[in-house]
Amino acid sequence: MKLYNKILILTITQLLAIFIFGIYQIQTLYLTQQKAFDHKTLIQTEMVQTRFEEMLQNLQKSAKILMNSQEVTTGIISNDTDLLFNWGKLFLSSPSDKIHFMNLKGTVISRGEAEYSFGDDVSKTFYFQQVLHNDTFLGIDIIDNQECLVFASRIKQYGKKPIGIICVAIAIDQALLNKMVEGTNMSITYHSAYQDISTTHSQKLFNTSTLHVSLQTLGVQEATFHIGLTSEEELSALKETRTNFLLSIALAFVLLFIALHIVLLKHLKDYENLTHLLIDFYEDHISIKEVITRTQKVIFDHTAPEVKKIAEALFKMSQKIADTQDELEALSTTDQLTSLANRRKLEECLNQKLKEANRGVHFSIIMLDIDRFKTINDTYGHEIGDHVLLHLSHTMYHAMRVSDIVGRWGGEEFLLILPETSLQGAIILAEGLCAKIAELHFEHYPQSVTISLGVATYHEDDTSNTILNRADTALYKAKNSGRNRVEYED
Amino acid sequence: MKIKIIVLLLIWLCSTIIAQDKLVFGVNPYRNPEELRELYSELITYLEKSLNKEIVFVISKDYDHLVSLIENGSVDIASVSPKLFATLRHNVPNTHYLATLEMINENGQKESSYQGLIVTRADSSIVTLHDLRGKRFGFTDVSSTSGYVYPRFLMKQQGVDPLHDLSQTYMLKKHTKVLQALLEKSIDAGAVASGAYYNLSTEEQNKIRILATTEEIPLDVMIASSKLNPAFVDQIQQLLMHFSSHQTKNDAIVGFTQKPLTLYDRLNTLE
Repeated sequence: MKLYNKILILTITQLLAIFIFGIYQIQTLYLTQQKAFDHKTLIQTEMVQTRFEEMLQNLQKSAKILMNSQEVTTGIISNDTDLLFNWGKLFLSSPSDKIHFMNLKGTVISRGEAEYSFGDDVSKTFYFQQVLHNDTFLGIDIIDNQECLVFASRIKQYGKKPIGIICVAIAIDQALLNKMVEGTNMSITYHSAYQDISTTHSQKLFNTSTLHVSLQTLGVQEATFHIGLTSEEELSALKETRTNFLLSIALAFVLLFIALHIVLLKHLKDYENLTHLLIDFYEDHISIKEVITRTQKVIFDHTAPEVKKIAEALFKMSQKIADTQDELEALSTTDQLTSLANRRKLEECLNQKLKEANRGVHFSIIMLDIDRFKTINDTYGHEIGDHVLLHLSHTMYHAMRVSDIVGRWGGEEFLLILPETSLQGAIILAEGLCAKIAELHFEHYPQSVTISLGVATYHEDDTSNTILNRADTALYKAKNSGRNRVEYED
Repeated sequence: MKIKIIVLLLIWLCSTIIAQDKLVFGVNPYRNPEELRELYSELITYLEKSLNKEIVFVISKDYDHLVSLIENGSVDIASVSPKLFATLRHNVPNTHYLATLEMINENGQKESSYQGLIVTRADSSIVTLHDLRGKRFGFTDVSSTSGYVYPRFLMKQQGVDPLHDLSQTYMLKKHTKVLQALLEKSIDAGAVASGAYYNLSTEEQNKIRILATTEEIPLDVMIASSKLNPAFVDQIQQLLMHFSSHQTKNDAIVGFTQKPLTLYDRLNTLE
């Protein structure tokens, strides 16, 4: 796996772990908050429910106190509107409250909330009929054209004889609903056949529950109270925060990934280039020279100090290898005594010239041998023999053209490869060389030395063996013809 | 329950005041408390200054209540309705008669008597007292002279029995309340003192039709509790007889006069 991938996967794994932990924390927090929110809503719903029940209890309590008052009994018996009004007024706690005293015929004797309004007949009302049959009524009915929570009961003299009816009521209106949800975040709606009212402009409530209405009977059909939240603003804010967190984390993850990718690419690119350079060298795709050139380029480029140091080290190492390679190359292709090309080198060059000749570049070769060299060794020793070889090689090398290749074929035999030279040109060159050697004076050898030369030129479909054989045959012929002469192929 | 507490508190207050040498002045609740306080304020100031005593003004919860307060000595002096005085004289013979009120009538004249009225709405189909049969009627109090005794007497004279012929009767205590209830159509007819009627605006008076007018009724009476020192009672009586106001407002108390007590005793004979 690439270093880039390794670092990327390792880093991304850690980031993922951190982000997943963060997401888990956010989700846990959200769930805790949601639970607290639901709990708060439940408490507030119960609070409203309790208020409603207390209101019903207060209705009944007020009515019972009034029913048991001697003054009220007296007032009912004597149709004392003023007395009943004063008593009723005392027990009114809100503008929307109503306290009515009626006789058994259903004629209103007094209204606690309206001093001058009495004398009308309510005997046909639902609540009044219910009281006549059931003694009491707790429910919802229309009182003075207003829908009300009503408690009505018979008033009895001495606790036995019915003398009148009391009705204590609270108008179901906007003010009542507002009072029920005062100090809470809740909203309440009331729906009946007569009206639809709500503490909020919108009828839509969240987390809605129905108010438990413990009424004996409903005078109004299908009257329901619904409690709920006006809006889920608080929860929505929480949800939004969670979403924002998650989006931020996702965005941060993507940005970090991109940033990581860019940083890794930038910083690992030079390492990767160096690595590829080494791999290419190892796989023989590039030479050590190219390694040197490219590492040199890395050194001069704007790179990180560490990369620069590695590149410098690599550059020096490559240079050493190149030097060693050159030395080895030289050693493997140079004759140790004469410093001319050795037989291996000559074979390589010959094969190269043969390939070039196939593309039309003509060449010739000269095979030469020192005449009676064994006698020199035997007479003057190997050191003098080597001296003669060295001196002769030196002369040959300087006598040849720059493009010509001169090498020691073995012992006292030499091969000359002459690029772009015809047979005739090669013969002339050979004869010149033959003459020059014959005139040559040695420092430590008192006699002159002659050489025999065989010349051959390239023929179509030649191999190294065929051309060498022809040169060798010519050399043999020169030897047999008296030495110190040039012979050429037929 | 609350009213009971208030009454007990009132009695305790009265007892305390007596102990502190204060004088308690009681009145019937025939008008709103504010109106009553305004009506008697000049007289009370005059008495306080003359007697050098603080006077506590109390309004009884109803007519009978004032009787019981006078009887048990919780109230020292009181202004009571003629009928109530007649009843008191019958039940508590040693009740001190001090003087009869003089007030400004609707014509701006000082007088010591008034009339009771039986009224209905101007747009009503009731034209005579006979038409009251089967109708809803508003009285003030059974102890009220113009608000109950005389109207009842007038009806009976016309052959209308309030107990059986009226469909419903209501006790409204205040004369003004009878008129308001009538205008709001809570009752079909009612009985009031003439002063209350003439206190209405002309527009409101035009909405009301007078069905019957009673004979002259002596005005309310100032009385003193039998538990007061007779010399002190005489002193108060003298002060009342010297009281004179320059008010010109209708129904204002401007002075006192002495009337033959037989005028009041007659009220006990009206049936």
